Amino acid sequence: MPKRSGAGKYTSLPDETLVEIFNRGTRDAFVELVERYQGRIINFIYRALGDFERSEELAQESFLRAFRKADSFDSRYRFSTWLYTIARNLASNELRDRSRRPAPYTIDDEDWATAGLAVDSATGARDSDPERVLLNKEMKQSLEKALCALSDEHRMALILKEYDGLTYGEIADILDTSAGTVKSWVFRAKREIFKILKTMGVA
Amino acid sequence: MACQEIQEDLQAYLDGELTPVRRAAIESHLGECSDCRGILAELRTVSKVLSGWSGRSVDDGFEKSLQTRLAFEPTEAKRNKTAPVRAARFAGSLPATGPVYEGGFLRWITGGWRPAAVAAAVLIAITVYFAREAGAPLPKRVATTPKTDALGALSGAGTAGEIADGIVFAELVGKRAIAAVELDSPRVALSDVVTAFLATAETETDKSVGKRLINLLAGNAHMQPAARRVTVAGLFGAGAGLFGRELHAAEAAADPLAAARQFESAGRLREAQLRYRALASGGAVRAELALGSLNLRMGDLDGAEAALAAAAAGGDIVVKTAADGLMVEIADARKARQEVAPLRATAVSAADWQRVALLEVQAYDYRSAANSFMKAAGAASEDQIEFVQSVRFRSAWCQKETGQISTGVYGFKGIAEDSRSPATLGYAAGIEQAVGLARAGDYAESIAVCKMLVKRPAGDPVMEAMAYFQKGFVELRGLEDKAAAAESLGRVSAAGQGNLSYAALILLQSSGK
Repeated sequence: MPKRSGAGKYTSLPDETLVEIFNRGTRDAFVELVERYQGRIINFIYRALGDFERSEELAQESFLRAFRKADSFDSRYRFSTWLYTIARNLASNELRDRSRRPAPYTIDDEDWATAGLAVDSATGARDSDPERVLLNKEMKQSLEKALCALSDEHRMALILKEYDGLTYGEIADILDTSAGTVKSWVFRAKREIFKILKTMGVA
Repeated sequence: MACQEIQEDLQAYLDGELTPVRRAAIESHLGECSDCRGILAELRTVSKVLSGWSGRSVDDGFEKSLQTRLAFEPTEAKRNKTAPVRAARFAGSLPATGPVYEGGFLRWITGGWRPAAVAAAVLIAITVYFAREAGAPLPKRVATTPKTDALGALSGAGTAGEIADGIVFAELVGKRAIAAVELDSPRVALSDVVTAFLATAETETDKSVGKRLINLLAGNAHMQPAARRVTVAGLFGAGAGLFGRELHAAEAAADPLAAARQFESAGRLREAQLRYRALASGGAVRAELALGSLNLRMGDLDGAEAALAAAAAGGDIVVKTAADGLMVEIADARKARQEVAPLRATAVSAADWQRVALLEVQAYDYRSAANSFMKAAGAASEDQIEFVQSVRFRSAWCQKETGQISTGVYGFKGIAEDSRSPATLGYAAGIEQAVGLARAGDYAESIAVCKMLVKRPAGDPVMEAMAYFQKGFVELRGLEDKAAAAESLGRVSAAGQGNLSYAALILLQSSGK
């Protein structure tokens, strides 16, 4: 994959500067932002919905909205928070729709790495033991069930903390609540997951 | 300290979100409380399980598809708030004067002059086709140009069949560009789907041959009056059709969809339709797409809509993108039908009839359009010979679209051989004639026309190269005269017309085997 010019010229610039450059009419700056965030946004939505295909569509929509509304972006805020907020709104709408016509929450097999679970750290052997493979599969199914059982807010808070590594403050902005609330949501989400894993016998 | 209060902060402790003082307090408590240590261990276990979900790395298709959509988003229009911003996926009205971006190419590509972009896209299609068709791996120079990437995205994963889709698509785009430009309409034609793919190429740092040549073509077209741009687009659209047909021939034995396409390409639309339909009812999504596109071409808007909806529902992102683009076409066609009815009833002058005809093209009513163009020719006065010949050209072109290839060829012949035709139009008609003849399988006639063409000046290097290319192609594929083909194709290369000359080179190489 050849390097893109957007990446070449702008890699060292902070997000907010890129938005400003873009707002003055240079599309490449936005291209760089897309490259910076596409993976994070897709995966955030994927984990919120448990539906990879839909997450790609909504991630595209997120970037489109950001593109259209970039001139209303307030540079006193962080671009990432703003972008995540757009994605979160789209994901929430989708989840609201789904509450009327439920859809399965799925972690695709190919995205279920065995890191730290079935890899023997000494030998690096992976998945050779059938029992481990089975356990691993059960683990995935249990996690699907557990994540699906969480409230949307708890799940999103957990994802943003655990996978995206955002601070409570940032998450609070995205989910439109307080940092203290986020802290307690993440804590409760994890405890709940543990309970479910335990009932299913994998933890 | 109460355990509950500590536990509330255990996650924050793991997340490193505590003040040093609070952190120390937690640690000291953990040292003496096994319950809280137990909960901390639970939290860690959950983290470990969560870490098993690696997430997905972004594939190329995502960014390409996003770039396509972004290419339809006006920037300048939004910033000065003067032009309406349309959110529709493949529609967005751009201001009549091109928006000003940094980077001339992008400005050009999104601001106007679409037909040339289409021509460029078709050239790429041709290049890729020949590379594949020759059975050779794509030469590096081609494989790494952004434009071939763009075509790859357009046509899927790059199997021959999918590239064929791309070519069919590009051809359709060529047609649509004509009506859009001539009507001077701000609407975004299907051609934008292709131009947008090209626009994605702007983001690549690889400024290799392809890009320079596309710029050349673009610049070239930019300098031309609208009628010429249209001619160039039409030509390359026609050329793509021919090459697409050859490609399908190569595959037809193995692939029933390719076999069905051959019928469409040869103008046997009903037969193609039946075959697409049979394949589609067997669940082939690409056949649905082909059926939708053919129904549209045949003017059956409802039928097209039904097939495209089915294709979009079952297809991957490439099929969906194509189907969505065509849906916009259908909506526009419906509008054009409403608009044209009262005009047709009151049309008197040559200009009236031309407008009616162009709207009929937009309405995918090629049969009526062919008639209306002729009425425009009939209503024109004696001294408007240039106008008359240009509408006759378009009438022939519409005939061809309805599957009446021989009628179309006859029309082109008349223009090509009429000494009153403007030189470039006559030349273009000659090429169309040669392409049509080859399509109908009449290689001997086709080559005769090419021979006449290359003896006279076209006044345009692109067209001259195109004539030599067509000649070489027929010599090689139709007559299997390698020496003659080498001579003709060598001249294309000598003319240096970009990807066309590169395609000629590849074709030459393939003949050496």
